[in-house]
Amino acid sequence: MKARTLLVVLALACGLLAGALPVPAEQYGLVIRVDGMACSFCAYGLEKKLKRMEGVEGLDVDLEAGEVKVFLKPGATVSEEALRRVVVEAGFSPREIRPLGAPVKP
Amino acid sequence: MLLVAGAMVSVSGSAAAHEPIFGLGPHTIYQGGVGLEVEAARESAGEERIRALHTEILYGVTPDLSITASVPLLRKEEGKRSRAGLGDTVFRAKWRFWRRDALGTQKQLALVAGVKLPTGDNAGPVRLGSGSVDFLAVFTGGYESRRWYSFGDVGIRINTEANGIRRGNRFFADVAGGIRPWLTGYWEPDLVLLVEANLEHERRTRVKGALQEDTGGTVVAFSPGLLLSYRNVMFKAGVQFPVLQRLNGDQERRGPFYAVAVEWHL
Repeated sequence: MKARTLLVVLALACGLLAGALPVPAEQYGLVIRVDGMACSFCAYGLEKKLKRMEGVEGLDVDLEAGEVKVFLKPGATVSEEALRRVVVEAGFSPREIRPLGAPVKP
Repeated sequence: MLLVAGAMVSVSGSAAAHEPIFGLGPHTIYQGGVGLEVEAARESAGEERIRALHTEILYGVTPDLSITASVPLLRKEEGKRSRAGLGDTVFRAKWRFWRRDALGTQKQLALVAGVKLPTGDNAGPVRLGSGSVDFLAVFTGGYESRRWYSFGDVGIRINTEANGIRRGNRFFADVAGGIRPWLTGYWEPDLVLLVEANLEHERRTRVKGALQEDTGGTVVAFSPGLLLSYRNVMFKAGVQFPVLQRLNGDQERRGPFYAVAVEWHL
């Protein structure tokens, strides 16, 4: 009984502690599905334009999945409309946009 | 076929991503993007040799409209005579009017219009320019995916008269296929191998209205090449081998055409 109680208390404590710790910046962001990206040379323009957006801390491009992960500064927000416009200006087609960590739609 | 400074190299080369080395592809550059390409080329026919160093700058007006300026420095040798200097400058605009994007693939169609200005010296026995303002119109299309590439273009160069000489109009068509043998990630070097087939047909030159028999003809060439890139820098290299030459009258047969280039998107 005492051991079980201790485990519950420990679990609660960990939960509280996780909520109090600062979340790494990589967890703030969005994932954009982009069609038309066949190579890194072609996609460089998209990288450059996204990095210029206010609030964007970094990004990662996955050519096979056709996805760009956009990492935001803590507390920063970027409008979906602005993201879509940047993808279009880079010469590609934006599809769905979802938060980082959200499940992919089947 | 008598080489005219910049006659071929003014058509080839297009500073915009994975494209044929000797043909013209449909790619543009991103809106507001600036690209810079430096290309060294060498072509010959008998005792006539041209070495060219092209500097080309590309700007993306919109995602589907790019403009290009190409300035050549030439060294031309005709037997024991030689001359070096500025060749004819070419301005081009490319309008990509159709595009279909899917996961990892892009299909494109574009129209290209260009003008060649007589900035090369047309005087003397070894001419660096044609002396004429010439025009270019091309229809081009392409498919690219993570593994495969294919391109095709057809076009015409319309030559005007200068100092009583009018070089025959040139018709050309190119097809190209390519493969990315190793699929690499965004932050890794990327290699594409290309092979092109190029067709050129040039009509006879007129001098003061009279057709010159030893001018013009048809050349078919086979051109392997490679494109090696890392993010915003691309190295290109290719060799064009003439495999069929039906030249009018008595002309020197064309030798291989070598081209290497570096393209950088700022």
